[in-house]
Amino acid sequence: MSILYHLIRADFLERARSYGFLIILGLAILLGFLVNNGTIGLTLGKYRGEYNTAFVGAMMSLVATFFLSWFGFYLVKNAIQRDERTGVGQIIATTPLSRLHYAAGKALSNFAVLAIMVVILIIAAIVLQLLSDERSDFSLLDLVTPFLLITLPVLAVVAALAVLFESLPWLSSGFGNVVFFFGWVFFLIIGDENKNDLLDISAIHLISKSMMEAARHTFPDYSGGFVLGNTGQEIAGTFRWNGIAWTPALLMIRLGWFCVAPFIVLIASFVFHRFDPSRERTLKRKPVLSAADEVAVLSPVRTSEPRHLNLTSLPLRFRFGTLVVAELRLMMKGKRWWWYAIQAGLIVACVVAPLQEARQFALPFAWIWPMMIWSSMGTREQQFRTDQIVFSSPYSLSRQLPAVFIAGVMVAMVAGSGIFVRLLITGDWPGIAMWVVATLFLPSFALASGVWSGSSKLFEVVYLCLWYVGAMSKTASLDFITALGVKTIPQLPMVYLALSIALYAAAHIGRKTALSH
Amino acid sequence: MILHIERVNKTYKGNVHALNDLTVDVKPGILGLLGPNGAGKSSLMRILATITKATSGTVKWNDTDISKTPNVLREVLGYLPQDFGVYPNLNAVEFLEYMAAIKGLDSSHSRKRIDELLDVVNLSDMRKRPLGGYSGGMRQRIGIAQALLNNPQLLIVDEPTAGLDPEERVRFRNLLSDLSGERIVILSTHIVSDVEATATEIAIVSQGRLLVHGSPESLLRSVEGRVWEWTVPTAELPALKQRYNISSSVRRTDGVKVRAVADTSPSADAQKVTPGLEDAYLSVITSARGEAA
Repeated sequence: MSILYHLIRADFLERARSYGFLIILGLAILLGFLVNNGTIGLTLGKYRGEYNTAFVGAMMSLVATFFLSWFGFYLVKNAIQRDERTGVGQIIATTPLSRLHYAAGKALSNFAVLAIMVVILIIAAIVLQLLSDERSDFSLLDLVTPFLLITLPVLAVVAALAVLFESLPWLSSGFGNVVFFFGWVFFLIIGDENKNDLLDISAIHLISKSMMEAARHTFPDYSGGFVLGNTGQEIAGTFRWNGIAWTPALLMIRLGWFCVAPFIVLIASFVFHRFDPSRERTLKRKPVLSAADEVAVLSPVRTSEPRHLNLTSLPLRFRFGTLVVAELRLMMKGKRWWWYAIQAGLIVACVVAPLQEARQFALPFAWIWPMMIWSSMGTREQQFRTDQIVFSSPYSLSRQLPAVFIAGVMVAMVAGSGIFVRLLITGDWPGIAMWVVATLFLPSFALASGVWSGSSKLFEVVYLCLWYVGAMSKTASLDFITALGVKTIPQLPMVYLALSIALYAAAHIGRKTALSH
Repeated sequence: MILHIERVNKTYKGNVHALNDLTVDVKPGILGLLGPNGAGKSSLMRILATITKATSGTVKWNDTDISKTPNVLREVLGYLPQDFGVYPNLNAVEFLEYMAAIKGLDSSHSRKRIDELLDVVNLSDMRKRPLGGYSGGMRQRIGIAQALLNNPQLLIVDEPTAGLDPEERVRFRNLLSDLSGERIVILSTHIVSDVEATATEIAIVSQGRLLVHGSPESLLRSVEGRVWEWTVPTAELPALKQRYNISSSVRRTDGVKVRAVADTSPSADAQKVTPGLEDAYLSVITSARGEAA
């Protein structure tokens, strides 16, 4: 237990003292603030519950469950990676620490980080309750119970899943981020879809069912609807909801999710590579050349006088095109044939599918497929530790950064070329304008995210959200991909063009700041 | 061609002083920069390589202040950092082509230079293998190849032999010797034998200060007649280490043969011996520590 405690403590302190943790804490406080000022809320049609402790507790715990579980995963999915990067993993591998202890320590540390944010949201809920004019008797137990029985079990599962994803080579990279994004949203709502309490990990079915009954009781005209977010609708009235009656069966179901987490950790411990280089990233790793390979190229050790090395003359003649091609080659290198086959298939689908379907479905997928190419922009140098070499080259800010950007634009143009041809044929000029701006927006957004965060994760998560909410859920203002919203918001291309310019400028400033230290 | 470093200071967060008023002029040849771990060598290397800026003081390359116009130096700079990575999916030729493009070299001629350099670093046969499969020594050789792409006038190599096996280390020293001539090579290391084999000038730094700068010969002269060797019983060795500056001790059948730097004969049977650079280095570092204490 002592080993486990120290593992959790060290891991937690390492994260808690990082700059990124402060930002995430700030975001948790912002989330609490957004609920407090009504930007995010829980509405049932045109009604909502009175802000008593039961309703505020349930509302805040649902917000925490959805937002913290979804985004918290990306926050904590770097515990093993950090040990790999810092080399601490190699030391840990030589200790008697078992895989199970290590995986459990990391999962518990993940859970501790997420639990801190829950505490912040509990405090926000208390503030909201104390500030509310609608409050009746304040009951801390009513307020906190949903967090304990709904949010924390979900976060325990998420903390364990993060360790499992990191332990599996094919899920430890950006592909795993995509899998979680779609898998988790499906998992959160599956209980509600199936009206099944056992599968209802987020307890959304349990709470919505209970609140809907209370709403119908007070407002017979209530015809349904349960929205966590912001509908923008005027609230016509409030109803009283006294919370969930926690029966032993319900308690068993909720606390049962705490038992799922150790099971996931156990699986993770079986597949965890324990920092064995021959097992890490088995899908990508090339065999290290053997000693025999090296001996073959070694020349005898010389003891004679030095022979002065004369290299042929090679003038400096910078060509931007050459650098763009070099950056493009670097971006695309390592992609397998099937990656190109799928991308080609999506381009073809954009060409042959009916135009509306091609824009609504084929193009979003054609532009999500190269996501990991873009997400490495601006961060590749740190990731592969080539930064000192690259940034000590002449004019890296004015040459290399724009070359990376242009290469990213070229990827976007090729990936979206199928639709471009269609738009050109049909003469859809607003659509073409939006398409061109999107090819600028995607790489500028990726570049700025990479330069400022130093990680590919920020772009991957935010782009997935934009893609899902904008293109797939047809939120016109966020839909820069299908461009179908241009008809309702004609100024959309100009807005995204301005954003692209601002993002590139942000990337430039970020890189300049990094270089001038 | 001159690199002029004047009163350079570098202070990190938490008021950690890595360099204190360091002044030195570097001319063509190989400057061996010696110092214990944490002496400030890598901080100085990064400032010279324009990766970071000095907190105060100036570094001039042929009268150009590199903190104001770093690209003047970058065009003629080759830099092999202490800790660097490569792109694992690229092979040696692709990586060097990429670096040539980054450095702004004429692409139509760069392939010939790359072939030459792969030959120089003995990687011609491995040119098509992805770098992800290279061993540490081979990566180091790719590192030196990229540093030489632009035939640099200033070549900075920071702890280049760390992690290399003895044979690779000797090869690297030979390569550095071959590279000297009409260029400045700055070799930062804490391994004295690396410098002994190659350097035309030596600078010793400790706690961010320049202790000595001169030729190896002048450094050796400073301990001439002060290096002694004698044999003592094994049990006396700990006490001896307290009293003298021991540069080596070798076990023999009749005890331990010790080598020390001392102004006067430490023992009746001690013999004066020809000093080595390690003796001189140890003498300088120990004296500096004594003064600081």
